[in-house]
Amino acid sequence: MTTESTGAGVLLIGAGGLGCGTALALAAAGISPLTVVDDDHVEESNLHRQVLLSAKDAGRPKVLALAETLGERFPSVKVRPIAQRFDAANAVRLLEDCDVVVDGSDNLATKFLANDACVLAGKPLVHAAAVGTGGQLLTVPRGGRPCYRCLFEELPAPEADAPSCSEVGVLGPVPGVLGALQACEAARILRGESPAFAGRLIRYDSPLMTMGAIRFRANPSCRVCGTHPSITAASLEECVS
Amino acid sequence: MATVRIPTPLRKLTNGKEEIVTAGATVGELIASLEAQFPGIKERICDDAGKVRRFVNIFANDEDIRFLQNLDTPVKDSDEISIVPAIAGGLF
Repeated sequence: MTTESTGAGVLLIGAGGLGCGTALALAAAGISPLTVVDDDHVEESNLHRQVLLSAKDAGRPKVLALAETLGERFPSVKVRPIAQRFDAANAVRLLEDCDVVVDGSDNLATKFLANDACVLAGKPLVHAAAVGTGGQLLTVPRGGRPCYRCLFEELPAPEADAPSCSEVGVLGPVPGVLGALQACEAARILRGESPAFAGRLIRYDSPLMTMGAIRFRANPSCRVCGTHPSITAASLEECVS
Repeated sequence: MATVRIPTPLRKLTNGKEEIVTAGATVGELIASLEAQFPGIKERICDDAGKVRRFVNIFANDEDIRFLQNLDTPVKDSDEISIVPAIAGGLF
């Protein structure tokens, strides 16, 4: 089944393990245009999970290598590579040109920023994160309620306090599984269907071979979608720094 | 004895165990019990004041303890407690 998009398409944040899995599935489904934003470069040590990138691309911007690979396989899909970091300075502009946002970034600061910016812009966000042998997935519906920050209230400071791949690595296929699920969800949203993962934290655990959902609710004191929000477009940069 | 599900990133502290069956009358007591068995795990879950870190959530049978009694939430035998931190990928 394909889902041909004729609108503004998908903004994909990150061209790493999650981003490659999502981009491949979206392009194969005929979803276009696909804008990919990432400022990172191809490293051979990451190729075990970045299935659209090759050793011959080492040192090149990931988004360019990813766009070329997709262009060869799916020439009808328009891929727009943006070799920049998704940050507070470009978030609002990038969100204007999409129907749905998929977060495949690899750091918590970007994940909080993506959430806050999407809630404020009224764009649906499909979030995922992978560490070790498992990961998480959830969808923030337009305007939040609930959003990622309803669940995880604040960005850790310093970020080293939070568990990360730098401590435990990531099993190559895990982001591929999560990326494919993100693509399913993004396609669902583009078709006008209700998000399947809104208000549900999906937890994938490969050693236990379990995938379960925990329902979570809107937090009335959420700083971005609560009853008295303190995060605004003008304060985005301050809130994630 | 309740079952505590350990998130992937913290399994390094539990010798790779995904689930720990341990005793405690409240969620806070369970965490203290975990700390006794696996030193260092509590500081990954709670801050210096002993409160659950704001990028970590704990669910008691799929109910967010922030909307129950936080660390004082009672725990029964056969309950399942899930520790769910915010995570992000990165280098291997």
